[in-house]
Amino acid sequence: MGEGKVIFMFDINYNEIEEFNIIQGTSTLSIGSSLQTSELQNESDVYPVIIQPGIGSLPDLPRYIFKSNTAEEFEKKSIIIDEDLIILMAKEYYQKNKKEIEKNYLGKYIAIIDNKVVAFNDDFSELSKQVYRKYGFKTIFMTYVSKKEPIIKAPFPKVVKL
Amino acid sequence: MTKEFINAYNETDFNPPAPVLDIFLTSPDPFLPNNITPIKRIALLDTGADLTAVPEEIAKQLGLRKIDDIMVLDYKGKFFRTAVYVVRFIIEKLIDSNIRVITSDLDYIHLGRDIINQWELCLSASNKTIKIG
Repeated sequence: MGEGKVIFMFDINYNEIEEFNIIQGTSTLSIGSSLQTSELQNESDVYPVIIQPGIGSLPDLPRYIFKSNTAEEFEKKSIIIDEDLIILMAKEYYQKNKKEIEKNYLGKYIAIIDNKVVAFNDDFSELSKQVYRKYGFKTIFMTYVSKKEPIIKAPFPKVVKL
Repeated sequence: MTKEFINAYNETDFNPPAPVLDIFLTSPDPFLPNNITPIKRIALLDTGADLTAVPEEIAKQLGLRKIDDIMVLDYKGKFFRTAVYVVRFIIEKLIDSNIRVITSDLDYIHLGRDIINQWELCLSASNKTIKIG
């Protein structure tokens, strides 16, 4: 599993999976040609996925175990790829709902998860502690609500004497 | 409470000598065991920096999570977009908070005005001391 590419869940009906193969020692799942979804049209497509706890031995993974342990997750039809995408999606939500967010949270720090403002606070430290305690330590979009996008000045020149 | 740091000007790594503090950084993960040792680094007090920056290798080492991205203006007047992370930031008996940081390629911390402006700060180059109240 590549660093920072830890989670991918297919937005498909798990019942359609007719064959799959998990390569031992990695967290890569390749799915056969039986899937008729827009996401998976190529037989050779290989996607990183999160392996659910309790699945057991990867090479011997029977289909029914795969289904029983992941059905619930597949039902959610989550598409969570990597932290850049999580941030990007949350920023898109922020931009689309900027007026309402500014109306309610101007001058505060907010946290957005799954297109919802889940917490806010005047103090960033308190917000981050509250959010990580409640939702776990994972990639969560947290930002300061202001009218204009801030530009950070970071002049770090250093004279190197040879 | 006022805290005085003696010999707080670093003449070895900075020329001219620069006011620095010892900072401890650790992950903001609230579920980490308490016995994890924070990483100690020197931090340059940099009133020219809007936001604190930590070495990128520390961000990787601590497994920091991105929380945002932000537009940055560098010393050449060029803009670039970079990730914002959260780190737990500790100065003994003074501060223990989660703060927002960007990363740099340098091996020390740039302590920006996001932190410095919370203090009454007195720098004495002749005495090589930093007083923080």
